[in-house]
Amino acid sequence: MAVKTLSNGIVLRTVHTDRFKTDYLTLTWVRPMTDRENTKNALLPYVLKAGCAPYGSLKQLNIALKENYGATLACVLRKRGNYQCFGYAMSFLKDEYAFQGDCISDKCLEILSNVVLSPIQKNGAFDADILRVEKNNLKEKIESRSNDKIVYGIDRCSALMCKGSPFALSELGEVEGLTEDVNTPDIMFQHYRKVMESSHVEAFYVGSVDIDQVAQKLEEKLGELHSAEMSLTAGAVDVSGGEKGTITETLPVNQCKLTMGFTTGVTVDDAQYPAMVMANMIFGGGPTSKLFMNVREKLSLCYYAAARYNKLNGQVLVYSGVQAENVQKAEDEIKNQLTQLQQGNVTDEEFEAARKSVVNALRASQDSPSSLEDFGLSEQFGKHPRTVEQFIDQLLQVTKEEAVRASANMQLHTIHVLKGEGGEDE
Amino acid sequence: MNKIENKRLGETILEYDHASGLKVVVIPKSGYANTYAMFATNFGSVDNCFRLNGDQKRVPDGIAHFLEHKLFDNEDGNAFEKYAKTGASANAFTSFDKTAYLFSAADHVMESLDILVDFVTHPYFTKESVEKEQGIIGQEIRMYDDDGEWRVQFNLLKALYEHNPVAIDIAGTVESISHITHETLYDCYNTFYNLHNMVLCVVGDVKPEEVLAVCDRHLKPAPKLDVQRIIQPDEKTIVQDYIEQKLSVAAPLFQIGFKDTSDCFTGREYIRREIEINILLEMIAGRGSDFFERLYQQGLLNSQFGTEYMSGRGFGVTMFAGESQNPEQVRDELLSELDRLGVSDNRALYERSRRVVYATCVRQFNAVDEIAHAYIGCYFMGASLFDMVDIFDDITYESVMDTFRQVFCRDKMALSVVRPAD
Repeated sequence: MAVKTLSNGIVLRTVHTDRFKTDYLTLTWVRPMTDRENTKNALLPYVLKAGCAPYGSLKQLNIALKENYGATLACVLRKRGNYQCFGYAMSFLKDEYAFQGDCISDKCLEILSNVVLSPIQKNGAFDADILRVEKNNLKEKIESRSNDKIVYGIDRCSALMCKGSPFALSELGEVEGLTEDVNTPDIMFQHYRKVMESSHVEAFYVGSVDIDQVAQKLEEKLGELHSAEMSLTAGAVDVSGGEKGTITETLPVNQCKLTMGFTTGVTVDDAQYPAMVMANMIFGGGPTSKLFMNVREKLSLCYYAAARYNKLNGQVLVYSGVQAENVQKAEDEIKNQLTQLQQGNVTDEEFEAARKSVVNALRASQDSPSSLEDFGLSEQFGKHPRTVEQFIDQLLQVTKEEAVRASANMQLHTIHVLKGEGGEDE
Repeated sequence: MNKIENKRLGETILEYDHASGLKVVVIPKSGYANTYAMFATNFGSVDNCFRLNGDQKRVPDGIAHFLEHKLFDNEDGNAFEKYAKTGASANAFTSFDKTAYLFSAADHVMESLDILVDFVTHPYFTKESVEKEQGIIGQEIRMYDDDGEWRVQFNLLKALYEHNPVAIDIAGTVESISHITHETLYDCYNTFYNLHNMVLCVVGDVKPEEVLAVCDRHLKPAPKLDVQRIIQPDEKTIVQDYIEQKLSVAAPLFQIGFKDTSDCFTGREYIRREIEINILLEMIAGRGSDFFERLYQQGLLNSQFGTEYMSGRGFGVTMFAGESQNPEQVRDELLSELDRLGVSDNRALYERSRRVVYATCVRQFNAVDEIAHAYIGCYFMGASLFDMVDIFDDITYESVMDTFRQVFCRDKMALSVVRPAD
């Protein structure tokens, strides 16, 4: 990976490769996750895309993208630690695969630059109809997130655990911020100006053009953008306002969802970080993990039981889908498996399996432009950003004892149980 | 060995007829960190009735999927335990017309391939292991029962197909799987997991001779079997034009589906059909289309909306899916739009849509897993992977509009809705 800071402050990272049939380019604005502002930030990429002056409407913009062999310009909303990352991911066919001598890349960069720099505006306000439609779209996106009950359980557990802290906020914003009277066209336009002036901006490119040429094109087309210097940091998740213990919620579901939130206090900057990654892998990171082998295979309680570890704030979330009558049994077994890990009951085979599994997944990510970008972005929040290869080297140094010691940091904080309404019977 | 090159794409396929009867395929991808291998059989959830050596059998719903779970077991342990030693990320899936066992690995690729070829060709089913799995699969079924997207689609299939087993849940039901025994698993295995009915596809930076060596190590020549799949004759009509279910969803989910009742295509014609329908879907309802953009501005559709042509052995459904507060109105608007397109000159729209679908086919070649999936999908339908890109030379505006008239018939359409439970 090569890095270059453009004259406007944008940090550009590129991976130069001929492997793919498409080029990939992302533009990401980074701001601290803040209550109320998060909804404005989430809305912005959609409004800019839908109301871009050179095209006049979302329809014409979409037609322009389609003319370019179905180039995609996706709005991307993420959170990383206590920051909100929002912007665009663009993917387009390389010129050599076009039917005639079409120059797709230049046209696509033109579209991106238009979207970001030339919004439809009048007297310091966005178009009211365009804003209204996009607010509705985002509102429906937020509401439908809860359709996936696995995601819903995870969202709820995390929000309860981190209540009152920035991490409890959603990268999609909140529905309250999308009503008619809130975030009006002029407020949103002012916010656009603020975002353009005071955010940190990252750009990422994967394709066959080298970094100097990419930098030159971006300077040419996106020179008017401004990226502020920002100290991007990681830090343990703030649970001081969180709810401890078990919270049960009821919805008309067939299968219960059990989610358990843990703190570890170990993040990407800590010496114990690679060991913590290994500990989580052994615990719940795949078909060789303690959770899969015991809660699923041995006890047949569930189809899935896994754990995910947040590298920027140290949070671990365990999630599983079980029948109502088995919730307690599953919870007990999950706690039991953690105890086993913490007491050092880990065979060499288990440890090596976990290591091979995580290294394999990391190597696989190198074949995916979006995975490369995502890894690269997350690393920017640590004091010493690594490449995938460097991270793999660190993981290869970790010993079983170090992983066991790291697991001692895992402390249960919140349990969320989503259960059905009636008594479900086989 | 059959070497097929596509200069337009810069890709190559190497096909081997292994001595055992298995088709082995290597698709080299130089510079890729990851290799993806898929060992698949032409047997899925629709194959619930067959005749082997004169004996007719009707097997319980969900058996192909159940077998997929159980095949990982062996006398000396479970395949996941073996993969644990090589670090491969392994999985499997059962669809309507095929079952596939796969892994992706960056290191120890041949050791992982060894495990794959070994466990798929060594069935080991016992009464105890079958009972144990019923609990796990029961949970999987219940997980899907809560899944609005899954339910809206299966309900659509129920509305379109009366006897065709495509309308049966792939995993079956908690009740149907209770009738599965280790004997019936062996019956299905012995019938369909015959190497002549299977294919191994490896995509990545690999040496073909190493792949063949793994096959030589494990595979014995397979006998040719006389298997007849008993296929219910498909009705030209649909069951009902509307079906609804209530679930815990935020807004109504819908799928509008048109049943393709033409005689089932195979080979290059199958690919042609698929591509033409995808071009039509892009024309009718893609981003930038009159239909989508108008309904999006009216708040009848949102960014969750999409289209798909879902097809395979013995079935084809053209689908418009998404979320809407008024699915019936979406359907009515769609029908109006179809009427309009039927009588207008859509050449410019066609040209643009053709590019989009072409690019989608080319993009597949970015990812080793997509290539493997696409290869096997084409192979089992008697087509070649590169047909997906070359077929564009044969497709014209006229041929696409012909297909339009065949596919988008009002009397073959149903609307499936999943509404929020109160």
